[in-house]
This record gives sequence, C-alpha cells and structure tokens, in this order.
Amino acid sequence: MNKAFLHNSNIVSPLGFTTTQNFSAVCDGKVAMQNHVFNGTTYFASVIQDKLLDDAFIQQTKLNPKEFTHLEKMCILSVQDVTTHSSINVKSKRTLFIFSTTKGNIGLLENNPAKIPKDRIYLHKTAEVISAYFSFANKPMVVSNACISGLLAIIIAKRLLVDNQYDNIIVTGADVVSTFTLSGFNSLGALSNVVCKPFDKNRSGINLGEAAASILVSNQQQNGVEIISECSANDANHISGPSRTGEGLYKCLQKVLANNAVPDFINAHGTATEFNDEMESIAFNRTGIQSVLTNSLKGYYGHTLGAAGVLESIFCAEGLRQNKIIASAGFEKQGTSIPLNIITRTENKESTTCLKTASGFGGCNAAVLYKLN
Amino acid sequence: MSNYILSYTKIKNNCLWHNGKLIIQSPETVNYTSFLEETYKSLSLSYPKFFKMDALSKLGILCAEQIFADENISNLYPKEKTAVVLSNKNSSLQTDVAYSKTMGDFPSPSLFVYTLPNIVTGEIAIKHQITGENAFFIEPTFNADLLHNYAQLLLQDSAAVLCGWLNIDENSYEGLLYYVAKPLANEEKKTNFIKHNPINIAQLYTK
Repeated sequence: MNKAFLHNSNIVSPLGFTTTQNFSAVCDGKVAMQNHVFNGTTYFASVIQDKLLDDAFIQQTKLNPKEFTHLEKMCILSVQDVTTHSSINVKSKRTLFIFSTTKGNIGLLENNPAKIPKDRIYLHKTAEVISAYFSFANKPMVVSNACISGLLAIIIAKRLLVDNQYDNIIVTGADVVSTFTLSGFNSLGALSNVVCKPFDKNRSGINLGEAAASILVSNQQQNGVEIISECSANDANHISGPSRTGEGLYKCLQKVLANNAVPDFINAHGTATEFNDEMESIAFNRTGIQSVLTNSLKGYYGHTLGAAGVLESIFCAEGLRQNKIIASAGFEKQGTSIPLNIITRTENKESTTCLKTASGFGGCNAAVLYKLN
Repeated sequence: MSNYILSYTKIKNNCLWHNGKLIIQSPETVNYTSFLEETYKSLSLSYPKFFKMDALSKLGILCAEQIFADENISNLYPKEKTAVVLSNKNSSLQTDVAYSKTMGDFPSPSLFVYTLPNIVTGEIAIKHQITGENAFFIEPTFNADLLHNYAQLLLQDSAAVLCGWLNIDENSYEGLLYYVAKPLANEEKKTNFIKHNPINIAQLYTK
C-alpha cells in the first residue's frame, strides 16, 4: 500500500521567510504579535510588513509587486521556496497543488487596488494566480473549511497519495489579517488585546495572525515524516462554538489513535478562547491522553486561520526531526477543568510520534498522527 | 458492491425537484430569499433557526431536508458514519459583503458567523445529527470529477456521503445535494438508484 510523507516546507510569517528562520525564532521564544492600527483601531496581531514582503518578492520572482495582493505574494514566496528545494516536477500530471484558506483576498472588499482585477476576491481565482506562476500541470484544488482547512488539506493530500492518484502534492495554507476578520472576531468578543495565553487560567481570547505555510506531501519515504492516520468529524452541535464534551474531536482521536496508541507529544489547536481550550482538555481526557506533553503555537503566531494546520504540522515534523519539544507560549497556570501536561520549556527530547489537532466554526474537527521514520 | 446515488434534490430558478420530480415552483419574479422562505413554509418545516441563517445555509437545509425525508435514506445509514462533502464557487461572498457593510458602524456578530462556506455543513450536521467526515471545496464551476473522486475515497470508510454544490450569487442561486451509499441488501433491485460516476453526477447538475 502507498504511504504519504511530509517533506520540504516553508513558512512565510513575521518571524521569518523560511521554515528554518521560523523554527529557530520560536525556539528562541520570539513572539510575532504587536500592536497594529487597522482603519483607525489598534489591534494586537501578527502582521508581515509590506516593505519586507515586497523586497523579498521582487528579489525572488522579479515580478511587479503591485500586480499581486499581500496574500498572493506570501503564497508565491512560500511555494517557490518548496519547489526550489525539492526535485519535484510541477509540470507533471502526478503533481498537485492544494490551496487552503478561509478568507483569501477578503481585503479587496474594502480596498481593491487598480492593478488587481476584481475577480481575485474569488478563492479559486487566487489559487489559479499562484498556480499559474509555477505552471502546475493540474488545476489547483481549493479547500475552505474554517480553521481546520490547513490540516484538512493535508488529510486530503494523504488520501490522494495513498490512492496512488499523485506522487507529489504541495499543500499551501494561507490567510492574512484584515479589518474584516479583526472586526468580526472582535464583534464576537473573541479577541485578546494582549499576547494570547492558550490553556492558561487567565486566557482571554485569540490574537489573529497572518502566514503562508507550504509543505510537500509525497509518496517518497526517504527523510519523510509519515502521516500514519487521519480523521475529520463534525460536532453536530453549534455553528460557532465547540461541543462542550468535545464530541467531534473525541471521535477523531478515537480513529487516529487506534489500538490505544499514545503520541509522544501533542500540538493542539489551543486558540486561547475559554471554550476551545476547555473542549480540547475534555476530548484529550476522554481519549486518555491528558498527561501527554502538549503545546499550542498560537502564543507565537496568533491564530493564522487557514494557514494554521499547515504551519503547525510543519512544526510537528521539525520537532520530530530535530528532537525538540516547544514551550506553549503564554501558559503559566492550569486553566482547564482537566489539567493538561503543557510544555513550559523548549528543550531537546527524542520523540517519534506527534498528534496534531484542529477545530473550527461549523462544528468541524480534524486530527492527524505523524511519525518520524 | 458499487456505490449508488440513492436520492437527490435540486433547487434552481425558483423550482425544487426531488429525485427528478418537480415538487415546488414559484414565479421567476419572486426573489430568491422569498422563494427559500416560501419553500420552508410549503414543506411545513418546523425549525425556527432557519430564519436566522444566511441564504447559503437556507439553501443547504432545504435540499438536505428532502433527502433525509426519503424512505431510502432516513435512519438506514449510521449518521456517525455519514460524511458531508460540499463545493461552490462563491464561498460565502454574499454574506461577506453583507457583513462588511456593517463593519464601519456596528459589526454584526450574527452575520460574521456565516462568513465561512462550511457553516452550511454545520447547519446540516446539526439538523440531521450527522457527525462524519467534512470537506468544503471551492471550484470555478460544478466539478463532478472532484466530488465523485473524494466521495469514493471516503466511502472506503464511511457508510454514506452527502455531496453537492450550493452556490449563492447576487441574483441567482443553485443547490444540488445528492446522497451516495451502497444500497442495503434488500434494496439492491431498486431501479431508480443511479450509479455513482462522474457522468451521472454531471447529469444531475445539468438536466
């Protein structure tokens, strides 16, 4: 039977424009969130400076930065880093590009620059623009499933590879911070105006962040991190809040951790909202994995929405490869009714398996088990 | 045993068809929001939450209602092993625009929660207590190959997949949901079941 493995990756974020830069910044405890003014209101968020992005974009692509949106530039830089450092043929029919996003170029609703055609508001159009630059032979696949989008895109990639439909799939997850998402989460009372504190007693909501994260998922075993098992499930409970008993996530965990497998560490969704973190602790407890070392990366990047599942999976793979477990930034005191074993110091530790989870609006949940070869 | 389309519902041009049969028809002059609410009434649904939903979710709920009322479907397949795989072109754009108009003034949380395409997946899941796999794909046009391919992959482990295309445009809308599963042993002979393949799926959409 075919298998699927994580390979080369890239992260474009305020903490750097490569996976190496991002991983070492996070290991050094750097936090991407700062105060930023959007339409006259100050928000605490993680944002990439336009000038930094444009400079890198011009240098890497020689294209006119005015003809691409902030999001598209991030994505093109991200995919380019992965294609240049791997030997895959993007023009092969056996290569696929999957794009994951929640809101794409949503900023165009408010401000559509002259050089950007209006149809770039459509998510498939954004994907086509990125795909066209690299001349992928197949048309892109676009996954938009709230905050599990990125992890779901990796799950879909795995299933297509196991079914032998492709040899190589590049999965890119991306979202930007916009007045749209900021005002929306603010209207729900979900935004924190200080660095978010996943799983902490004093957590007070999310920070939003932007990133483009890309990873090559392929059927080649050598140097890969294997995708062992995967699942998505719906709570069937509420459209904008998780099930109190973690129903959907528990269902995913039962499937992914079949035969009572216990992962060496867990990279949780950990958004730092009251309900999400509580729900995760309950689902982990129901599965019997509440004492496994656990972290959330939202305290470094904020919630990067459609990018989160890809970005965080890259950290899972790098953590396994480099024998590192990463502190859950922002955590001080147990803040869930089921105490979890939250990682408080970044240190060297040999691990073989890692569980990645995600949950989102619409009641969706996803989980994947990764294993170092 | 092969997978079959056991039931399907289509809503378009102010008409609702179930398994190819015209069930409801309104004059084309009726705008689509009124049509969706009229359809809710003529189907005698008792689900007040319906009126809080955006048009995309209303469209999905109405299509799904017909399918799960079908005797071939209702409670025959485990809801916890039923997947929902949806697609469209516009994501939640109509609701995004409506929400963005409230941003300068009092941003509306009740509109914001509908600014994701997969909220309709959640609404259908809640209404019918379906807890299986989910995926929402964005495509420039209806893509029978994609839906067929992913449903087939899911059916290796799922009992059934509710698939379809739910798209809302400024002045038009299209809803097609269909239910794919292996017919139960005593149902095999039913002639109205449609073989699950891209050609048949494309026909449901175009005919």
